Amino acid sequence: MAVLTDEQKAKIGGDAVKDMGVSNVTRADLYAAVQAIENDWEGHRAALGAAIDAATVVNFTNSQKKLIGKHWMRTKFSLGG
Amino acid sequence: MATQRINILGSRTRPLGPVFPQPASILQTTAPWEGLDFIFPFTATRDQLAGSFSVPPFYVDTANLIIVWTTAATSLDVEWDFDYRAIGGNDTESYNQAGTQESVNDNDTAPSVTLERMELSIALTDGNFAAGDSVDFGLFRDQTDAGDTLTVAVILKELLFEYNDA
Repeated sequence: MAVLTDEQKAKIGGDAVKDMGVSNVTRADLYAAVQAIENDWEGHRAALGAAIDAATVVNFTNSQKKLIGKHWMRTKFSLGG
Repeated sequence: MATQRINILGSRTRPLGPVFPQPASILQTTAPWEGLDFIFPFTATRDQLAGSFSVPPFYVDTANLIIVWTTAATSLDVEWDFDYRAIGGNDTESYNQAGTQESVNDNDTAPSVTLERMELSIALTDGNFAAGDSVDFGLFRDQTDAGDTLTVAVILKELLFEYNDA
């Protein structure tokens, strides 16, 4: 699993705090939440790739799978999913 | 002997990296004031506002740095660092010296109500200053320090040098 730098966690977390519209989230909690998402994602990454392969006739490349996943996540979470 | 304060922001003030000037009206949406604040955003780095000032002619002692700041948050802390070197004399001391003369720091808790005026006083070493010295400085929001727990931007309103005169 990737250990994110403080700079990476601040970038991701800072953007999230702005979107949430709150200001009293602690730095420690924000960093921990971002790292937890990273850890969980990396734990499921290989299985997700395999699931896409199993569902498709022609296998997508890793880059194509990342792009599909990116747009799925944008739509899913922007709809409150 | 009276306590005096001078503003030490001015034409040589320079924000570095993520620090930037912003009209006060962007955050103070009710007030009509349009002057510039300095914004120290949420990062994971030690972010600097650089500058210099001249020690007043009647300086004697009791040197303090006064940081006037605020933020939208109502809890958690900001960590301020202040590095400086005072350079004096006439043809005796170089501006080009390595390191700082002194580095001081302190943290302050966010206001109880959004955007209330906050004032933090940090003691400086009296003997480092003499009337007429040039002082080069860096004011930092040190977000590499565990003392900075805020996750939002901090707003610098004023930076003052406080001292007792003759």
